[in-house]
Amino acid sequence: MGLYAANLGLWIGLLLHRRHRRLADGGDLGTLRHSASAPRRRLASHRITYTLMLVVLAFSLLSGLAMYKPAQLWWLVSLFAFAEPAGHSSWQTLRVCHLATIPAMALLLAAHVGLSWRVGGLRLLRRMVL
Amino acid sequence: MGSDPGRRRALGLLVSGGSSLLLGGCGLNRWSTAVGAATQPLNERIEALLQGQGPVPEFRRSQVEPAALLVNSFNGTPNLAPESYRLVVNGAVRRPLRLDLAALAALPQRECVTRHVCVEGWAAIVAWSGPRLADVLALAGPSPLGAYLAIRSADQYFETWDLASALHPQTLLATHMNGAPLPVANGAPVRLASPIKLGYKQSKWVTGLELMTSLGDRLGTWEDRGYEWFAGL
Repeated sequence: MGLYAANLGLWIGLLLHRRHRRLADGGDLGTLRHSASAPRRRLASHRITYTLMLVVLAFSLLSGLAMYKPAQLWWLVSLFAFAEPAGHSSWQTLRVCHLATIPAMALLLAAHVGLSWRVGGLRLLRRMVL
Repeated sequence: MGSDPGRRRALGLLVSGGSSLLLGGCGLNRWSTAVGAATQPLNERIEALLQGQGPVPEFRRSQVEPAALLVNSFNGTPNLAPESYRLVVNGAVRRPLRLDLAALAALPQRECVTRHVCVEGWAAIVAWSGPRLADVLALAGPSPLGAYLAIRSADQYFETWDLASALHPQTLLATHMNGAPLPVANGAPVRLASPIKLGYKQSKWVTGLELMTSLGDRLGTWEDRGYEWFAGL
């Protein structure tokens, strides 16, 4: 488990580092807001979807570690105590947040497929898979 | 812009990463079992290191969640008469003991308000109190060769622990829960309680402790059916 978690964390870290540079250099967010060119805006929104996937994966890894070793990583669990005034224990908040990453990934995947469809239709989707 | 090889590579990584995300659930094959088994000693070493950094922070008494503590039992609910109850401590010890409840109550009592985490996914904050397991073992004069502890229960539940976890300052032989005597469903008169192990390691209705120098054939009721043995939190 530790090995798998370290492996996933390493890849997410490397990819996020790349994306961070790209977001800064290319300015995907700026393109999305200011560019008059529709293809450039689509590409920027596509890149932002990928980046969000990485962020969600990193969050699911961290929240998963908190659920896996709550005694050793008690400080990680205590980050989820924000809903305690509303009567939800940090454990329940942690569970909900961790499992919410699954529908979040599904939504991002749907956005990814939708964006690809708009760019290249069925032909592009087929090319992506094959 | 499509000619950027770096971006291509990153996309390829994402696609392969995404497929492993989808197929990861099917990955419980022999290979991943072998990797898990090979890295388990390292995992346990790291966990022992993290657990050696002192006690787990405790909760306030007002944070106790009595309704969240579910009751699991593998073989019914044994009813032990308090007056005839004896806790047997034997194995690699100088003085094998048969302790009654008065002897346990005479030891220093400690209350731990900690989170009880079940492997099923639920958790509850519970205030356990009773003597520390380390104090009970110390009464029996443990051999320096002792490395594992076998725990027998009245319902035939069986567990083995590493001695470091058993001697942890927050590992208790709980006789009280949330300030009241332990209910029968929760393991009366004596059960294990510890913030550093999953719930299935915390035997209820404990009747026997045996200090062992090595693990035997049986690791535990659930561990023998494939559950993780160390089960550290």
